[in-house]
Amino acid sequence: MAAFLQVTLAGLVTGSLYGLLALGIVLIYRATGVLNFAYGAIGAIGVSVMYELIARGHFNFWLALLCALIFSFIFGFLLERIFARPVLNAPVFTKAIATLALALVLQTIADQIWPELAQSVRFATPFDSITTRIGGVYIRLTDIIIIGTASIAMAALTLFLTKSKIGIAMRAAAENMSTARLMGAPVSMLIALTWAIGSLVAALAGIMEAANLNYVGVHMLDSALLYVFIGAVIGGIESMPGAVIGGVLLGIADNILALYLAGHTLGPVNIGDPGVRESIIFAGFVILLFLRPQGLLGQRQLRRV
Amino acid sequence: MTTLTIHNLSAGYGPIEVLRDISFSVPQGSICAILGPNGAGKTTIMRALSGLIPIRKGSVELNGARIDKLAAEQRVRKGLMLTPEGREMFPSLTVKENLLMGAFTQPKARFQEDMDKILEYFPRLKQRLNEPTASLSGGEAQMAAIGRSLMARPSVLLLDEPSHGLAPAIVERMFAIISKLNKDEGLTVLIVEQNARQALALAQQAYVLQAGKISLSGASKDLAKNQAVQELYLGG
Amino acid sequence: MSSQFPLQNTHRNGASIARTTLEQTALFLRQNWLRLSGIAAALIFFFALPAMFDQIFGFSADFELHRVSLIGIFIIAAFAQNILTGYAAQPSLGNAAFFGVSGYMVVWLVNDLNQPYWLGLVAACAVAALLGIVTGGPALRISGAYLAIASLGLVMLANSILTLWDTTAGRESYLFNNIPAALTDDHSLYYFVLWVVIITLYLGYNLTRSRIGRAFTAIRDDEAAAESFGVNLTRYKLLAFTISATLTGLAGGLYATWGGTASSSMSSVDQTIAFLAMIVIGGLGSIIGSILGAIFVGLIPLLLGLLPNVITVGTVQIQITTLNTGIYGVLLLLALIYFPMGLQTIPALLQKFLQRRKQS
Repeated sequence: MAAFLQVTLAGLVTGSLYGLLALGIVLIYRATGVLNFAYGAIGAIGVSVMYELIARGHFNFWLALLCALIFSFIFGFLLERIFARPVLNAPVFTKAIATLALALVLQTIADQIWPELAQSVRFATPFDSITTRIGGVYIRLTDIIIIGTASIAMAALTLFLTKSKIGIAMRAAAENMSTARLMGAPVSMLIALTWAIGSLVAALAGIMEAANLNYVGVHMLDSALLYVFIGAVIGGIESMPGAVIGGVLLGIADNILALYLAGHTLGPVNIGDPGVRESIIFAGFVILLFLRPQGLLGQRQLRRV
Repeated sequence: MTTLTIHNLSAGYGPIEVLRDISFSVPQGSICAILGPNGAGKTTIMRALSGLIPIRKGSVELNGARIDKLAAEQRVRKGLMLTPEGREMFPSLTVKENLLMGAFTQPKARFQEDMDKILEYFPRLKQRLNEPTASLSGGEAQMAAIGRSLMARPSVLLLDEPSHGLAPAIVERMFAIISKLNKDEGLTVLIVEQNARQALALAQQAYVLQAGKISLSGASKDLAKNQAVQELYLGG
Repeated sequence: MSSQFPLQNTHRNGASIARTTLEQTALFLRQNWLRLSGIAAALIFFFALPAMFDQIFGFSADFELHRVSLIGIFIIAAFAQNILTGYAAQPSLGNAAFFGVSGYMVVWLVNDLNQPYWLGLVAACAVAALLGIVTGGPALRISGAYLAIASLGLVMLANSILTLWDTTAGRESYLFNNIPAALTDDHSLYYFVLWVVIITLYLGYNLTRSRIGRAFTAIRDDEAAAESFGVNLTRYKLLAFTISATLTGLAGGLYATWGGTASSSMSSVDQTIAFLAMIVIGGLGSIIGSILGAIFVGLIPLLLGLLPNVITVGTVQIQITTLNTGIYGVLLLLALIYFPMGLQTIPALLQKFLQRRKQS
């Protein structure tokens, strides 16, 4: 039982990070129709900036965090202006491939600036060694901070999008760009703002992942990104709460499967191998989508005539 | 005293020039109608006036100042508001959120007061305030679209085919509301319509648009009696 | 792409038609001289390429030719993806799953089960086709971004299973030791791939001109309208999945032959995205687009590899090798921004340019 709770906690931690990343991906997807495959690279650059400030700039942790987040916000804004704007009206596929090209460019730049981060480098936080034990479960302060921060960030973003004038205008522009302009909303600004917020969220999630794993690397979010996309689609990529739920579920399922498959064999196959876990998750995902093509919370797409 | 003055306006898409040297004006506090068959360029006028497409020649003046170089979102701030063809609501946003979008250029403090006033004209929307506009009927959506435009406190309201796809009884009720807004609030309206009979009954002045040019103009009463208009639009 | 090749259906009843046939042919030639001469030049170029390589590269000619053969395999895979995505408008990213599975099938059948090579290749295509039908059926219920990500999940599934097969069998990748001697020679492999590409594209050209191709296009342009005109959506979409999977299977089998090994990275997200990049860069719904896209994606890394490792500008030394990926990304971005409809528009732009020059 304790082992089960322990992995559930770990699942909740990765799950809330997946959920946060999924939220950012859905935000950008809805506003601009871009399936942003550069999202992992954008987040990783945010973390790398923070690493730079701590390692070379000797900033204190919290100041470095603040600066990295501000940097990511501006970085996202600039990315939209310089790179996403020219392909804004291109077909969905062109945009998706363009973000892949962007990811290649960003990673090359990051590799040039931080050659040491091609491998994992230790990333320390002020709350690393603080743990407590409840029942048989070890809880790190890091776990609580990650789950707490992710929940607050998601709630804040939801409030922003449903209650503030700018947030509502962002949703409106996502649905109908030219009519939003007719209402006097500065649409081009709003789209850039979407990227800025999305980039900020990516950096926040990346930093928390670095705190979780205690290491930082330029490619640290690459493998998570696919899980995040799958999580977003499980929840329903048009629905923000759905994307979050999908991400959390995936994180928990992954950790629980790891617990129960470990150390077992099936004939010649070692089912404790991570490959088996992946196979089960991907098979489950494919089957789930066949059963519920619009995701858990997505609405059936209406055919426009 | 005219609010909106259009002088020698030309506009179009790509190699096609839809509007050629159009001049007309909308007096303050009046309702003007532009009539014309499909493809005459009615919607193009609206798009050019609101800034969704650039004009190629001529000028557009609102309250004495030229607005034709301004971006669409800036024209709203000058007092020109378009209710586009097909209503174009934000489907997953609620009616209230749509109204809030209409009031984007207005201070938030005024929102509640303005919304209450508009809901008096469109009481049907009161019950549906917190529902997504995707769930509205065609008539309700058109009311919401006009209400949304009014939230911007326009000095001129542009209506593009408001009767499109609606039952005649609903059109009649909607036009009655527009007429009331015009009388009570002094709202200036430029309406583009295929439904010539009802538009002529609503407007004080009308222009007939044919193949990108204004072929006839005058008081609605006179146009309604005009032989050519009767044959073309009023079914003889 | 509007003119029909006249010889296909005019030689039915002899002399009376002969004259019009001749006139039509002349007209056809006049209208399409640029395209026809393009095809002829391309064929001459590709058949003469090994000889040219011998002249240019000397000792390393075989090595370079071997790398170019890969582009041919990519052309087949790109065309397969284009049938599905460009013609039938299914945004499926699952093709790398078939690519990998058929690669493993060929090696398994020829290596471990000692079957003849041709049978292995045919069986691999058949297995891919079968998988295409099995997964295409349910895929019809999913649309848009959901299909894209779901089919990406399929690729990951194939990747996990193939990796698992390798680890269980205790190997890094699946070495292909039994390749027919003829195909281990780089020259013959090149010509083999070239012929397969030519035959595939010829059949593909006829397919896109046929009733099936027109049905695909109708589905792409307006699904609802196509259905109302009596196009059986399910049947044609499923057919697109199947044809695409079969051709991807062919490419997968060739790839395993080309590399002398099958590895689980054949079914990777990177691989499937490469297929998609090819058709987006080249142009959706176009054969010439498939070719240009595959050449772009396959050739650019080769060309970047020819750059010197270090360029010295003044006192600054720039490590080019570490920048290759980034340069590739920038070129990709530029192509997408300046040719949003794909590189396939280049011939048309060229033709327009030539005509304008003739007029002035």
